[in-house]
Amino acid sequence: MPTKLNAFSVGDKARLWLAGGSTVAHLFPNSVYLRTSSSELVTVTRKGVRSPVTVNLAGRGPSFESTLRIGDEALDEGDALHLGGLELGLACPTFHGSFTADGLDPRSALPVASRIPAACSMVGVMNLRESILDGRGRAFPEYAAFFRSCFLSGRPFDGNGFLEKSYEMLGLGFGFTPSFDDFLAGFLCLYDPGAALVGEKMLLVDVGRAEKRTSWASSRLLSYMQQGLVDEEVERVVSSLYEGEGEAFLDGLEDVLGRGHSSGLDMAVGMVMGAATFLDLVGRGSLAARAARAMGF
Amino acid sequence: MESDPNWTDVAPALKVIPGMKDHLILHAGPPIDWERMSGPVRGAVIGACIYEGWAGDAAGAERLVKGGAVHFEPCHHHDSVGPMAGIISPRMPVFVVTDRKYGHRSFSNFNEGIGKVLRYGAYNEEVLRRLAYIEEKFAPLLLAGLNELKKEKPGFAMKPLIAQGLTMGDDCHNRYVATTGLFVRELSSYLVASGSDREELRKGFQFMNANNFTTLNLGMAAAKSMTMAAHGVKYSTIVTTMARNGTEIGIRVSGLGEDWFTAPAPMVNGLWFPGFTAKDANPDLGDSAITETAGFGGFAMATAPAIVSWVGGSVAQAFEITRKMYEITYTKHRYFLIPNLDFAGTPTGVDVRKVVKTGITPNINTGVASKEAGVGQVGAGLVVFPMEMFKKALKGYAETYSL
Repeated sequence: MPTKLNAFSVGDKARLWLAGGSTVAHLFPNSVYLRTSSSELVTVTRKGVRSPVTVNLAGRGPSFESTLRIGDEALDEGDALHLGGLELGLACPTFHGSFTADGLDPRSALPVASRIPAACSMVGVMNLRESILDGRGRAFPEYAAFFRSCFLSGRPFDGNGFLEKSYEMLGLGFGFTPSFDDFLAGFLCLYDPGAALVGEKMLLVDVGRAEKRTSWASSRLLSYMQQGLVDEEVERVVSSLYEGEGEAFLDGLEDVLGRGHSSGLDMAVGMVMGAATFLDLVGRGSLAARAARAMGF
Repeated sequence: MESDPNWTDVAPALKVIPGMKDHLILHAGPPIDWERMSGPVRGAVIGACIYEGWAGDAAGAERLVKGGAVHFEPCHHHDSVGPMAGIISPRMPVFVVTDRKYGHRSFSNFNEGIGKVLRYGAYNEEVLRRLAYIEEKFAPLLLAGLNELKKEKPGFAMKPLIAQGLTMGDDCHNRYVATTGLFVRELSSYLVASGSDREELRKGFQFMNANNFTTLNLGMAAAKSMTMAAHGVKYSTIVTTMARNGTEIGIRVSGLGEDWFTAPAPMVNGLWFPGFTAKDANPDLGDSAITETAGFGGFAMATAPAIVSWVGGSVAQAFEITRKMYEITYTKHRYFLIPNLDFAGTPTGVDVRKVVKTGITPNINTGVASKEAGVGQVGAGLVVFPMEMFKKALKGYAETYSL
């Protein structure tokens, strides 16, 4: 008899991608990463934060690490997903990411500029080992060189140069999703929606090229973040920036900070830099440079 | 951790508490006015007004308070702490604790026992009679014993008392069985030597013998001293106050001055006295979380497995709570040790950053007051503090130290 668990939310992309079949790619106590036949990543999790690429399970259950194995196949039968000895009920609402920057006045984000110094202070004080901000970390000299080149050169932000240098940095750092990948994901999900609004080129990482530098899972998560397929917490940060809600921007960053070992902090650093770089585009001048300096680069 | 709190005096609050004045009542937790006070705090305020002679009865006390004749401030704003409602009025005798290392002085009122007592919001004749006994007989008795002790020592050293109590199965928040025994044992020869009236001595010993919580308030004042030593360190993210007023819960942070970061007071998951249920309970209340703030109390539950018979949960849960608290604290205590964990130091120094990072908030154990004024204690239990105030504190830090 399979153990029955019920989802309370299934992301719209997750529902679509699971239909083609998937297998267990990574296991954590409370989450499973499924690799679909189209090589997409769907997360099945007991955590409560919803996203378009996530299946959220209600209630408690056995540790996934003890009940599943890497390579187990998942069979989608519409209202249920059979996964190893688990039957996951999917008869629940579908979650769609809702934020879009289309039609927004980019200048509406300007009030957030005054909160960037506090945001720098907030992420700076977290001081986690082997995060992108860890001055004693093994990779810190490379992060510092990247920041100097991209944000502290005294020249206007060069999107193409940033992207090219980012390819060289992908996979660098500590954690299941390496620190630089998390930083870049945070940067792109904040910067890209606004760049389009002011007629600048959106910075989009080529996933195939990224995968040569980092793991499949990390490259997929990066891809979803830059497409705006973000979870509710990240969406709150993005929307607060573009709606000019400085307090909500700080609140949202706090929610993100708790993720993984240092993933949340690395992502938050990227978000602060992404927001600052966008705000520079709409007339704030050297906010990104000041933020980089304030965070220790 | 290096502070050296010693019980050094007993005196009326008006005489020794900084800023104490006539018609000022100190209360537990963050600032609150009469309109927003919960039932048990109102009850204790009424009791204090009658005790002080400002009013003849409950109705008179309410009229007085509503007329603005009585002022309220948090105990913590006056280097003081009080369990549950935490009411300290000018005439009440208080313990004075002096930190011989850093020089701070801290204060707490006397413990009345459990059940129908002022700190749980009761104010009937029995409560007022007991308060009068404490003021007129018991406090002078203890002071006489303390003065004898001070002929040999600078004061009654609190840190060794708490450390010893922790190794004997107390958590020194809701279980003070061993600690009170140790206290009475050490003080008894001095009490006898003080030449106090034999009948009063007998009554005093009886009063302490009947109340395992005799040393709670002293332990809290000692904890307040310890946390005062940690307060005011620039850039520090260590929590130096956690306190509840029955309506709100609040924290203060070492590097953030006197600002409170608050959230609605949580409900307690309790064991109920006969005749009461969760429906009778007031939200969490009291300054006693100063014990956890200083690195004992609920954070040391692993050393006090017997406490689960008082606050609920299981022995395994008691261990689990201590283990979880290591994840959100800065260090292990150098002097407060847990035999059951191979004499590991207790989790000490809640770090706002670690709370926000891990999503784990402090777990404490506590008594529970009835939500109705005048009733008293209805149970005891476990409570998990809300994340909201820690997030506010981190934001406050970011504002204060904005780069």
